[in-house]
Amino acid sequence: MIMRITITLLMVALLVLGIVSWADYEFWLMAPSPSHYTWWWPEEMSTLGQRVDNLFWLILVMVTVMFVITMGALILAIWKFSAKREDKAVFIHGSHKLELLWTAIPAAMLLVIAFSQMSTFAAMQFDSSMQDEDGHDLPVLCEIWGSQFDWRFRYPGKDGRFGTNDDFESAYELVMPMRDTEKDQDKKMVVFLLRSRDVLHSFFVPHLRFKRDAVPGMTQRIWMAVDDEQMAEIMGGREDKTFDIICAELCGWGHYKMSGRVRVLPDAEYEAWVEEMTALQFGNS
Amino acid sequence: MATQRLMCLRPLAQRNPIVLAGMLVGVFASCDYGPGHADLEFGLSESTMASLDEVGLASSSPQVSGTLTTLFGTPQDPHFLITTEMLDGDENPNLSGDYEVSEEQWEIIVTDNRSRRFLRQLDLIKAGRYGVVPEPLYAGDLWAIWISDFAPLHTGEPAEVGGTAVKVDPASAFDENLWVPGLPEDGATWAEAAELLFTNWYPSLRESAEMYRVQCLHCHGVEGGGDGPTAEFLEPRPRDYRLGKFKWIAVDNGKRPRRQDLVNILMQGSYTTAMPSFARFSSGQLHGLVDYVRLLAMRGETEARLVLEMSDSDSGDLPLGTIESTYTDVWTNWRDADENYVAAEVIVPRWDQMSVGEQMTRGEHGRELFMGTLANCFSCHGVDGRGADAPTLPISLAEVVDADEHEIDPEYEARGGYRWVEYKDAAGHIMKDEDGHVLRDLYRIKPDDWGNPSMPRNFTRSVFRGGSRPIDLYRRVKYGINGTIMPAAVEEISDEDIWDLVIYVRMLANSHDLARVYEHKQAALADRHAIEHGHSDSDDSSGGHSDDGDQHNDNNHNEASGH
Repeated sequence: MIMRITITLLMVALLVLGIVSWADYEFWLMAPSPSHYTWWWPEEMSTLGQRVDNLFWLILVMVTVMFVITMGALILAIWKFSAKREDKAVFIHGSHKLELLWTAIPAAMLLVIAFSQMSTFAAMQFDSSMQDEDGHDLPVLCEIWGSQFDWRFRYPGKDGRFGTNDDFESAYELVMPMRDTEKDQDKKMVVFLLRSRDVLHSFFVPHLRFKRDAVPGMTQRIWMAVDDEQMAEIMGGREDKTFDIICAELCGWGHYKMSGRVRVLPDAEYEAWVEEMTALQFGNS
Repeated sequence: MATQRLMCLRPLAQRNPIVLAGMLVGVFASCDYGPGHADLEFGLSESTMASLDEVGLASSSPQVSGTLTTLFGTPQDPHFLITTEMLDGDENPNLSGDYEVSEEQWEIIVTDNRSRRFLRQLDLIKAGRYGVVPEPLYAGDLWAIWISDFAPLHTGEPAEVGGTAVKVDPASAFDENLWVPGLPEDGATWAEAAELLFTNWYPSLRESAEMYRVQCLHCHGVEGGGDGPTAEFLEPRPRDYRLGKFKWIAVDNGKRPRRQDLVNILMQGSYTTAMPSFARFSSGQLHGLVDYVRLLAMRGETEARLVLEMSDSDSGDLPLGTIESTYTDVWTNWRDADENYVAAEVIVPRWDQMSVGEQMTRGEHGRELFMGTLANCFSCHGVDGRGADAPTLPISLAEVVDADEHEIDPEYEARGGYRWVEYKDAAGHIMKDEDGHVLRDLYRIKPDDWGNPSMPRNFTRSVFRGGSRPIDLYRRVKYGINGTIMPAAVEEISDEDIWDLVIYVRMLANSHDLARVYEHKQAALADRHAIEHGHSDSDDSSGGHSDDGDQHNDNNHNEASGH
């Protein structure tokens, strides 16, 4: 009896939670532009974004279906076959057919996921994707440093080399070019070095569907690319055309403070920004 | 306590899931969530109590705290007392944003209010959906105005919303210590007035105190003493504002920082310390925080000086005249901080356009100065520029203390405040006396004004807390660092010399630069790839551990960047 009451209470709690979060979502929808405040993913505007989202949906649907089926079966079994206290337990050997079935189905699902993500993962992850046609590494735009508790970006300056006197730093704001002169989406990629100064951090840009752990002692070449048409569509009407960076790995007590923003500029404006920062670097203010 | 009481239910809970769930709820409900804003109150500093005790005036402490409350208010309602001098000068420190914030800064504040801070509120107001405008964080006074004075807009009948011309009475909209700039002219519509209310917002001290409570207090403490609950876990320790000294400033050594210096620190953070960049807040909010930090600093300074006056006087009383002159003096120093702005006229050499040869020559001269007795940099920063991290203790950084007599402060010791230095013979072996005891001396690292052990910068880490721009380094060398053992440069060192020193310091930093090491390594790997099975021993040193992000592996960096 107690078991039944507990299960009923649990289900009621889940229902209430569902309704509350739905209502809250509706509340957020009252905002003038839902993309500002939504609980869900913001619209994507990266060249890889659509592929990432497709994978996300594929996995979400698969997992949800399996969750409902297995949990339904579990609850049904508990409900229907719950024994009275005085009943004795009975030993059964099990079913080979069933065991085969529940091994084969998840295995097949995992294979589907594994094969469908391969090309996207490779494009995201492998160094060879950050080379030009001649096999040379693409130049690094800036160094991304995670440290407790902020993101800091160091640009090599106009000479394009780090460790020289025209390097300049930007706290909090990552500025990157749109590469709007490139019509080919594959050539819009901007390469960065990702590093951590102390503990594990995770560099997460939801709008660009980019997330990667920053590991102390490791230098990672990463890339992001903005789909400028998509961006114009989403950000066009906004006065503030920046979007968020967050730390997605609990890194200490100040983890929640560890945010930043990305500002994507058309190529010409980006060059002007570099000029401005160089002037500031050698300025006397 | 509550947890213990609940534990007696344990046997029951093991059988009954509902009791278990109830227990969990009980435990969470009994958690101590810390004091809310209502409970906070300003206390007196430890040094105040100690010095009052010393002269037998411990019972007078309520007089001091009462005076301070009159002058600076409480954490719930912080405000400056307006003196006749301020009235004569037409200055109200409660509204210092009014006359201290420059035109350009004001434009940024308004832009931030419009495009970030109140974006949502303003969008809803423009869309005419006044009823659902959400309450913004840390803007209690603004929200009170919106609730009371703009009630017809969000509760009223449709007829009143929109076109109706109304007269907004400034007197009802804010009390004298609240800043509501740019109220609309007579005849403006409610909608226009509402938009202006949000776009032209500048935080009151009350609102900033609330923001300080949430964002800053846990490190910097209620009184700004750098003693919040998180502080003891941090190294370096958070700044104690009460001395009125701030390190990363662009004014003469020992002077009060400018408003802009503090805003810059909030924007940039202090790199590799626990002070992050707060650029995610709007410019208005940061200026508000600076207002409140200044209030705390002035309060602390006034406290220290009042106690001094009290101990000096025979009666142990605080005459009104003394209080007023002290208060005015402290406030004047802060108000006039801009007058002490330094190096605004200095021309920064463009190293990016300088030939390598010239850089080398100037860097070499900088190195000579670094090692020389005039600038004397090496005596704290070490001959290799590694400062506190140097393998041998720099000569001026610490003083010998008698190991038998000196009472070692365990906290100071835990923070690296003491070092044993062994005697070594010419061959480098540690020397021992006849009984086999190691011959060694105990050194105590010199403390800074806040009582922290001094940690001279390790230049090879390529991190500069107060900014790495040439002008930042120039200011550090030329004017010293406030409150620390880093002194201002002596007069014999010319500006040109200081720039040479800065170039040398940057060279130390650059030669250990991790990204540069990484580039070398990548290039070497590419070379090796090209040579394939040829003589691969030529670039052996490039492999391995050169890109270690950890600051403590300086030896590795040296080896790796050597080629």
